[in-house]
Amino acid sequence: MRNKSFSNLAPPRPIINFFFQLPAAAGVFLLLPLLLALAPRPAFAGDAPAWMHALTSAPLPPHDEKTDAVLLYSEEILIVQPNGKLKEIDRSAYKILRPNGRRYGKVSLTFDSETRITNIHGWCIPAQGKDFEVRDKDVTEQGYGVEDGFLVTGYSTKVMNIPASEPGNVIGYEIEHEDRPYVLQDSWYFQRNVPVSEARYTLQLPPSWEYKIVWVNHPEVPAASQGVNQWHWVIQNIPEIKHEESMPPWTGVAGFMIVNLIPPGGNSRGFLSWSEMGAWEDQLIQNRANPSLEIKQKVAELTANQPSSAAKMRALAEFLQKDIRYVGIELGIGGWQPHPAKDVFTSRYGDCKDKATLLAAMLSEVGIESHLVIINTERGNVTPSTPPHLVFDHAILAVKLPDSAADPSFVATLQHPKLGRLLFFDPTDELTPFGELRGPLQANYALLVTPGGGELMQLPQLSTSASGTTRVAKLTLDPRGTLSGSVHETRVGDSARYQRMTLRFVEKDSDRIKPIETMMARSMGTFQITKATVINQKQNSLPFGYDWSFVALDYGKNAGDLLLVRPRVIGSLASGVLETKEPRKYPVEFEGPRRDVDNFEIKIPPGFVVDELPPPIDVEYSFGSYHSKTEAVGDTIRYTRTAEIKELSVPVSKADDLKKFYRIIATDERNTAVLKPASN
Amino acid sequence: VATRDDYFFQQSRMNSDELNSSIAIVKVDGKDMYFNPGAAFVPFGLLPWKETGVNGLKLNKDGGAWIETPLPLSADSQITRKADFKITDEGALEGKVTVTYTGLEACTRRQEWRNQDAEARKKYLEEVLKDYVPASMDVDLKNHPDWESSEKPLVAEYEVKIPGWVSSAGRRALMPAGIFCSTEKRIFTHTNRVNPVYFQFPFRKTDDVTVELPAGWKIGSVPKPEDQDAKAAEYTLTVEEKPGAVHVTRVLRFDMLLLQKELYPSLRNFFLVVKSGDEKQIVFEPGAAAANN
Repeated sequence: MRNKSFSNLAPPRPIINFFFQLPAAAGVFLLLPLLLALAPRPAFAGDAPAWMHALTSAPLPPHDEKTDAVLLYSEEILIVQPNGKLKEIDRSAYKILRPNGRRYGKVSLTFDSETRITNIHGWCIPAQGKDFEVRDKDVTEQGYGVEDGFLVTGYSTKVMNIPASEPGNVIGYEIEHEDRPYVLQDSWYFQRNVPVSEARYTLQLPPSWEYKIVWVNHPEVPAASQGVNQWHWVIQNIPEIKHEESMPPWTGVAGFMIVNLIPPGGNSRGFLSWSEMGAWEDQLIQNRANPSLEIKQKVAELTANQPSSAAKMRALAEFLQKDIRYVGIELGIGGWQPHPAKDVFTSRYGDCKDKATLLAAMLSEVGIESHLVIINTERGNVTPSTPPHLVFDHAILAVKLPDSAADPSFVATLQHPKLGRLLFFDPTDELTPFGELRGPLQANYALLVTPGGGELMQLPQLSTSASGTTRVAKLTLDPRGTLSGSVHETRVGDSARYQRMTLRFVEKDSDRIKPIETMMARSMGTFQITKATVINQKQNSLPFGYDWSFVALDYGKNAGDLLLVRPRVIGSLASGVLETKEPRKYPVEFEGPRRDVDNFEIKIPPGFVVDELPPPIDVEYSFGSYHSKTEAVGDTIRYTRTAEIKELSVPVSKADDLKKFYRIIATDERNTAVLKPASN
Repeated sequence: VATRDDYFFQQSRMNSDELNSSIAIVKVDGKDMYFNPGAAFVPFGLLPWKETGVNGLKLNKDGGAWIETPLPLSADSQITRKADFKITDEGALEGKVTVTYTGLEACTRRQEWRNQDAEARKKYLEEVLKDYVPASMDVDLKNHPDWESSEKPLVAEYEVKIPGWVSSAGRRALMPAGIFCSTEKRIFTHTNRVNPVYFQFPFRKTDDVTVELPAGWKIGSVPKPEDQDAKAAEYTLTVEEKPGAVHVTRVLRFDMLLLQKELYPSLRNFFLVVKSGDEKQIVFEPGAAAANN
């Protein structure tokens, strides 16, 4: 649920970490509601409760032989108290089907200081023998630490290991907790990565309270009234979400329900609109971006010699990237409320929203307006149809560009109808320069927080030329097949960012060329890099590059009197993402748009002429294109290719085209030119 | 005995905790043989890899005597890949592959997957085969390998299709000689080495691949044989012309456990030769039925 790299926006409510789990089964539950009306019944010493025993003979939901477990039953009961406190009871029971299903016996619950866990129990009903019970005292608790990206946090996790979680056995748990939420909103995640027989949600409200429901990735299910101010929703035979490589994020595909709780008087304290959520966040950041005297002095120092507003903004952005360390401190509402800018400046550290707030304070000192933008670091978690809820895990800044800031390197911009030209910048991302935006944030939907409100908006998608790798090689082949020469590689955008990240903590020069060695080794056998230079490793605003020379023995292969040479000397763009047995179920997501270009010239050895060349390739799809050409120019073979990824999500209907696209690239990458003796 | 999976035992440390496993020495026809009856799936006459080539204290009335357990030969632990392919009109290789694991190669796999079910083991074996080939491919395991035996080889039989393996070059079609070579293609890519190189046990890989040509195709040329014998390691590659087919035999033998970093360049060079040999091309002349992309 939480992105460890950038996470600092808190989960809304205690979270049972079930997304990695798998269940499956169907049908059982005509009898179950009656049994549940009696629950929770105290278990006999060691015995699982009646509601679990009722499940042991139930038929399983539809599943295949690869299913590790099935979720026989899950239930969430939310009891709202007049003072806005919540009491929640969670029950789940799985049947383990395969050895990999053992992991469902490990149940964890993440909670904060506003939560009191009043009951936590687990049970196993073995296929044979007596039941096992896990009691409160058997449950361990662990905190979040530096390894999770936090220095201080109020979060903890209860971990319960249910014994005998073996194939054939039924395991289950029951957890009760009381919460004082900041937002009167609940999310019911009924779809899992295993089939679910039955999922049930019960809502009990005090008199005069109301609720509003929004369904996500699932058709609306009507509520059934269950007594005074009590409703329930039941869904049966819910198919699992099976993991696929490069699939959209979980909340982009899984069905769930958002419940907004409305106290008497109509003040929701939930979010009935994005504007309401923006207003809530705006209230949390009030006065947080006020600059202190020290901040003002630093701004003056950093911008004194900068000739333009663009240069001033860049100088302040670099200060945030380089001089303010990322450290997460989340206590209470601190998951959503930034620390005051003056504190962040003084301590020289903060999390993403702290860094964004400090930058906002510094920009305001040079007369530049900016707005907090809260976003999920995985594109696809939020779509235009997503209802407002606490789905975000990151904060960046929208900077209102002055008319004078006409810098061509400012590409992560869009024109806002009211605010004018906005540039989106992530001060937590230390490797993407001011003006650009890394791929996963592009075209992503985010909440722009404005005074007293906010709006969901789509961030800009940059052109393909803003990211990618260009390689230019001048090479010579000798009659024995030895290939030698030099390569100049230039990386921009995410491609540069990735390489800078790889080399970030590398200290030795010999280690800096390892990425080249690895790439070369995938492309050829015996080779030696004779010289290599890294270009602009620390200068983020300039393209990253490598210059290197190499000698590769036996690159050209002798075949009789022929000499065979592969024009695509180095680098591979093919992918096996769709080379799977099972048909694709979800779209294929790309991190960002990109363009990769190769331009290789191979001087052929004296005494040889070109006999055969690979055919040109020209492929155009809406999501991408690939063009390659091998030609003989005098005594040189010239190979050029350009590959582009233009759309960030390829729907299932185009999966076959994408598979074909990658196979064409793979074939082109293996193609060979044939040289023959000039005398033939 | 002191196993060598976490540390190398040194008598001078006098740390009895490092003698962390027990084996039995049985005199058979006057010769000592070493057994660990508590280790599953270990063939008769072998020990688990971590108990091979290690020191141990043989107990006796005089306080014991130091012994060293035997190290198996590469011939004791083999991977054999036999393939019978046809080249399709689209330039794919299609056919049957049988992979046979013996000795410690079979034992370690059986131990690692002993607690998994048939579906997980099937997926594992399919992924392993995909991992051997440096191209995307369709793989379907067709048999039910014997995961329970200690003595019988672990045999996996597949139906396989490798799309686009044969590439076109105008009038000719080309195919790399090495097919199951992906493992060697990926290792020792970097020039410099900080630590010694450590292998679990000696091994031998033998590939026996027959590729049947489409009607009308002829063989243009085959690579010259490779024979790189570095004593402790050996690589041979032979491509033979057969009527309507080519037959590729590739052997990689490795008889070493630990190599100091000073000798790393030699080891890397050996594998660079392997990679280079595997990339050698077999040239076909398709005639009318040209391979295409």
